Amino acid sequence: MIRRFMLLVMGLLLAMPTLAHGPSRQKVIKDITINAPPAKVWALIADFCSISKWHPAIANCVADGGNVAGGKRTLSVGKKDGPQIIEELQLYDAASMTYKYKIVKTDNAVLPVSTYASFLAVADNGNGTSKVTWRGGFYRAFPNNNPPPNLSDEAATKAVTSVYEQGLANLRKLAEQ
Amino acid sequence: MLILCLVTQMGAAGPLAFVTNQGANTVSVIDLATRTTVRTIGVGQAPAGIAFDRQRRYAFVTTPAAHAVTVIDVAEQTVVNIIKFDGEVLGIAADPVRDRVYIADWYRHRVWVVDSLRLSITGELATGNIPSGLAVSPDGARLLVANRDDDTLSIFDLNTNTAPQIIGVGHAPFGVTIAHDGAHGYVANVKSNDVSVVDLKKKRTVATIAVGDAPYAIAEDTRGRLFVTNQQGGTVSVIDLGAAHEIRQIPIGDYPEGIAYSRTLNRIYVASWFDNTLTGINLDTLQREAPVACGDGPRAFGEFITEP
Repeated sequence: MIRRFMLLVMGLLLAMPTLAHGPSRQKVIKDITINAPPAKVWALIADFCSISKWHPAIANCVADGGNVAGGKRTLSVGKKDGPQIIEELQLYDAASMTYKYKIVKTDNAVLPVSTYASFLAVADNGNGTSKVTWRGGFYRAFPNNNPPPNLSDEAATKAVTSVYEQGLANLRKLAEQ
Repeated sequence: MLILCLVTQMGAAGPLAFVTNQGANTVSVIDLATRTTVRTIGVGQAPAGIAFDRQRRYAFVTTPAAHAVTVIDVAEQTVVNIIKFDGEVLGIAADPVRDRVYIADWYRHRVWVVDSLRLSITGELATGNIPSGLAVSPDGARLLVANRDDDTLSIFDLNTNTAPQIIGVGHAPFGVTIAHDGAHGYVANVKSNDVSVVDLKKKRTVATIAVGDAPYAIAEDTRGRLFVTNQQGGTVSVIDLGAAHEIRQIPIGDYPEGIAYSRTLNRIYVASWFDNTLTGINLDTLQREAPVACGDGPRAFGEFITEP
């Protein structure tokens, strides 16, 4: 009897709809091993606004404030007059080669997220190579039920994953030159 | 013989944490004394909130995405029922004197009253916009509801069932806790980075205490201190209630969220959503302990510890 009931419960679990849900925070973690010492890799990304030099999708960066908490950058995506994203440092720790920043303003056409914050960190693998980790937590851009496909959890996760993968791949290319 | 062993083992269990793992669609049952995961229970999609009924017979797990609450038998540690709702169930709290749990509907400014023995919906209470955290006073007289998008707290009198009193708190209130003596309510305001202390007799905010970045939920110990998870700050703020200010921040992990107090173990436990861990803070030393692994995305939003 109990077994039959449990089967019924399992059936209900499987039958639950996956549509029409409220937002839950998403996370993306990407890392890459780079055949270069950590100091060399960190030097490429240490300046918060250097991202236009190492990320292939960022055409331009305008800094507002330094490499300290509160320092901002305005990014142009794709081309110089492309969609803009404004980001702000929340934590900057050169000694541990890491910083944390949040998105102040995004453009949903290129990065459909809200309440986004992420860490970028370089770690020493101890054998002359480095590990760079980029990780972010965020909600989808659409705050209510039934998001359109371009503002869904999947769209947000896909966009962030693409930003991290493209950026890390090009960072490796530059650091290993 | 085997059954006898199992029964003995279950009876001997210390405080248990039921941690909702939002990414893994599971609940980790963690024996806090031995720091081991004793069971991982599959539940509905993206579990978030948790409460135990007053008899500690069932754990109620909210799964907003599935419009449902998964009911777990605490002794058996198995799913025994799923209650469906026509809305987004998130915040949840148990009534300490009645066989009821209260469950907030994220989008439709109401709280459901659920019979925690019959597992059926018995009523609805009207709240403000985006009702988030809930808390019930130890004497069962009051229910507090944080209305996130109104910057208010609804105070219901559960004995008279009259319209709630609504008072102003900070910006984007989320987690709510009631003092052990029932005199005050504590509200974590995500966007104003502070905690509102509400006098429940005078029905007004009597103190606003600055904490870290994006406070989420609050636990109280029995020495006049509050512990507040700062989601974006990655810390737990410790507040001295006598002095009404923050006395320190303890670095804890990335996106600390659910927080609860264990009287038996003299510890506060914190779920870190990004790190997939549960971390204890020793209340004598205020030192954090080595984290215990959970499933992906622990939220543990609510009173997630059951004491023996």
